[in-house]
Amino acid sequence: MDESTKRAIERGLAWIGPIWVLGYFYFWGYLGRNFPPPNMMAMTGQELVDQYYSHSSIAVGMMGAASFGMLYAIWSLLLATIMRDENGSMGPLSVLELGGGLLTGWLLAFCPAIWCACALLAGQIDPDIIKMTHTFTWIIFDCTYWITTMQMGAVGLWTVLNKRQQVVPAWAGWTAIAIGASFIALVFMPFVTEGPFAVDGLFNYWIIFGTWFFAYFIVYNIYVLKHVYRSPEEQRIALGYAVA
Amino acid sequence: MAELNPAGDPILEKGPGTNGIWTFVFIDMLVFLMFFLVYLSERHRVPDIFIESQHHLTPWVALLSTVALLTSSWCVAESVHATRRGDARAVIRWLSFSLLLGGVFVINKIVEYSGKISAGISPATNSFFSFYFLITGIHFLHVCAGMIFIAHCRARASQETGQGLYLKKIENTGLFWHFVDILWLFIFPLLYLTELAR
Repeated sequence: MDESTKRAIERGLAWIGPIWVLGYFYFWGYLGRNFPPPNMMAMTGQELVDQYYSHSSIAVGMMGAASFGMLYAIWSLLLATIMRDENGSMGPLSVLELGGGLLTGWLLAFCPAIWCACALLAGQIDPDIIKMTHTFTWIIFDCTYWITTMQMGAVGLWTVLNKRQQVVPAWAGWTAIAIGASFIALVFMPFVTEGPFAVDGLFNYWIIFGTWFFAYFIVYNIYVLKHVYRSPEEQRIALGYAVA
Repeated sequence: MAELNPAGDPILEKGPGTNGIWTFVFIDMLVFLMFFLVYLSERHRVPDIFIESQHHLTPWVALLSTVALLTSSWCVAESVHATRRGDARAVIRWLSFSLLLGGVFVINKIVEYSGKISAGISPATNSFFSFYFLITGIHFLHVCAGMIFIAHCRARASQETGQGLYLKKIENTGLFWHFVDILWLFIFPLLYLTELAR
């Protein structure tokens, strides 16, 4: 494959990050009515069906989210290729980032698919079964946070420990590690019905999702986009490789 | 251009440590600030729960932990001075004391957590205890990490004292340990003391 084609592919994949943002925010957030999500731990099955699944946009929103979810995995794969060693091999941090990104992307698609099923079946089956499925899926969505912590930790460590790279500044790496570690508060989500650690709580929803998005994902998207628009020589310099 | 240590980190010409540790401490401080602000917000929302729950804590145990941690911090500071003098034996001695006192904190915390869990108190009990376990738990992990760094510096002291890179290493460790200390100086009154007067 010639160099210009490779670069075009790289740039296309880099723009998948912003496309994921637009698609997921619209489908999962707006149509799926997840700004914020319903606090199912404090609701009966009937309340969840009446107050949340009664909205006709949810099934469409969740199907859209299931489609856009895997774009996150594709973006993460590009990030892993940027983290390769000079000889092209992927070190452990690169593989960890790739694994975490793939699993996170899968989750971002898989869980909305289940919520779509809940939306389609609400009103036809026992509301308690809807609540059970909805809750079960949210616990998977939130409490498998380690897959994203792993990704953020890996890319953060690469950013901080790889002193030769100039693609991403060190502060962004430390931020990624710190935010990934703060996800641990999500373990409280299933056990509380109100307050900052509830599924719609100030910390476990707004702060965790907000910092993940603004202080990690947006930041890395910007630096990845800057990187892919550099010339091949500038990319080698930015990555700290020896200039030929 | 700033001189670089062999790891490629800019060595600060004025002041201890390297850019990396200061950046890390700043970011970490912001994360804890986030925890504290959410804690205060929740305390404002359900003050009765916070008042009642705080009486289940044992401030004197936490005070002992505070004294241990502060003294440990002083020991690390002395080890940095000893490193600058090139006195490896003193470095090892001060770092050993520091580890011992850090161990007192760790044991105190484990005993405290065990007592709470045995009494049926868990992070799911109420929002105060969610914060208690979360904030002190993450701080506890920082203490453990700090002790690993201190142990590493102690293990390398006899061979590396006198080298510029070792000085930076122990300064970075000291900065991290002091940060852990300062965090506890906020956590202790916030969680253990503020409601006792009510």
